[in-house]
Amino acid sequence: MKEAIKLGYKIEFFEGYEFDTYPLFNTYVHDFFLEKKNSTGAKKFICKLHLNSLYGIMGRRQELIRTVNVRKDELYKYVVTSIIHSIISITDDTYVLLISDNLNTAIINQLNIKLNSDFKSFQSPVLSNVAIASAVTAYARIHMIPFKLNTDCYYTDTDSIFTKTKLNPSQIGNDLGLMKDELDGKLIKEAYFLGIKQYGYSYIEPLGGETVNKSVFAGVTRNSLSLMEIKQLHLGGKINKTISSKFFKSFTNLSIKIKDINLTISANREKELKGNVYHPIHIIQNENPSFKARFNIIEMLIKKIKYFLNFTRSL
Amino acid sequence: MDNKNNFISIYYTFKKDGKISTISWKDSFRLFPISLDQLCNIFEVEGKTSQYNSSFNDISLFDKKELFHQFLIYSKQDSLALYKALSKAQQIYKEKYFVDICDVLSAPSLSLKIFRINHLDTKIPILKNSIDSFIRKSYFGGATDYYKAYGENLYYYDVNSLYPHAMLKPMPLNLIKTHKNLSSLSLENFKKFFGFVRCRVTTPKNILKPILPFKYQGKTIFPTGT
Repeated sequence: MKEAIKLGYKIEFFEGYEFDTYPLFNTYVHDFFLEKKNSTGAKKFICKLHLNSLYGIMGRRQELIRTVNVRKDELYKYVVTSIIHSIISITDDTYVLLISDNLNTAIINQLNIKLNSDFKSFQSPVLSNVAIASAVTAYARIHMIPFKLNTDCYYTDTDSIFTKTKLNPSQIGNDLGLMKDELDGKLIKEAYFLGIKQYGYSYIEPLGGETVNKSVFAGVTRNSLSLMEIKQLHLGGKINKTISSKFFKSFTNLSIKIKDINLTISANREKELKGNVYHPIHIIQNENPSFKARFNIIEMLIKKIKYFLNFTRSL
Repeated sequence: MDNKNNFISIYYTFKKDGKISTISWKDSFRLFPISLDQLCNIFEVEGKTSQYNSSFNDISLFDKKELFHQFLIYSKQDSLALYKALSKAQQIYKEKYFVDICDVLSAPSLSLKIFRINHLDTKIPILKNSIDSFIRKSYFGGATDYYKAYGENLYYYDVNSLYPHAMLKPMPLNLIKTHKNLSSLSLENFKKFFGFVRCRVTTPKNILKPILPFKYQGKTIFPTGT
């Protein structure tokens, strides 16, 4: 937000939580990064895996799923006391229940008052802290801001940019947080950006001189669309593609099938394109969404409870 | 199971010769989210020697003698390759990080275990429900956006280890103050504030690359407006 204020964003503050700070991950990151730099093969892979998979666990929800196997005649007992996430039938007489634990006690209390019921959600705290996870992803977004604003940027995704501007040598290097040239000095000859995770580009291989096409299109195998096809989508066309070997699992007859599926793909731009430039979506939001959210959660829980009650009665 | 009804682990408890035993199955893909071929390659063990045949995936397999034989060979070498790779992994983790990969169910939980055993030197507080849901509204993933449609002569750059880099910044740890009313907070004091606020944001007019995310109709966008 401090970055946004510099850009002229106007902020009206309401409430907040203030925290002290701590260099929580310093030794973890430094140790793994150093080792990653100086190793190969399995050890390098392990370092990479753990450098990237720790922060997310801090953001996991307190809500837990508990799995219980029950017989048909016990089902009702669970359905009227626990918040059920789902019921999976295994045989005519046995079911797997997924029960939600650690649900917000205030919400459960309100629900019980409303339904005159006795629902419980067992509490067993999970080590997580969303403030930390949120700080990590926010710092990451902040790090990307200058690359988006100070260069002629066409597209950006999490840690990467496509830009017309050649970066300063001081911004490039092997250290943490510095940029790396994905294409090793090669220039992209042509590129189309149609939306989030919808783009394609081509470059020329300096040795062989052949043109390489790359494409990313959500739902379709990477690089399976040619630049011509991306261009076609850009011009508003539709393309039919067959995706081979998708697995379909079924619990009811315990089968796994491999099927090909046919897809019709088209660009679905949410932003308005004027000339070659996309314009941001403009929204005016006046209400405070947080009260509505809690109300929605209770309504949703009641719906779920009724659904599982009816389901149990129908057996 | 997880909230998408996927299996995480399966336990089978049985009694044999008066003794109770449990066999547990765990999904190795949750621990190392790469293909078996890649896993064997990385851990330098002999990988798959025959490829999967999609006709194995039919119940009539058991009636087809030749195909069933192929299936047995495939299954054995597949299991053996996984076993060799995982054993090697287990050894590395035990020696270097003092953890057993059999104790966890996924890569993130293995990371947490390594972090807690070897690095964590303070107590991480668990946030109250109400604070968790307040702060969770600020939890967005990476920023993805598109600014121009067609380009020529572009560069493609990416940051080395963006998230690890972000993790080196000061992390919020202990809640030091709850502010119920921040309406009089000056910009000067906001500069010193570290934490999470609820606020109304108005973007400048005519900017083409907004930087603050907003959840709108289930999607994260970077909009202009209020």
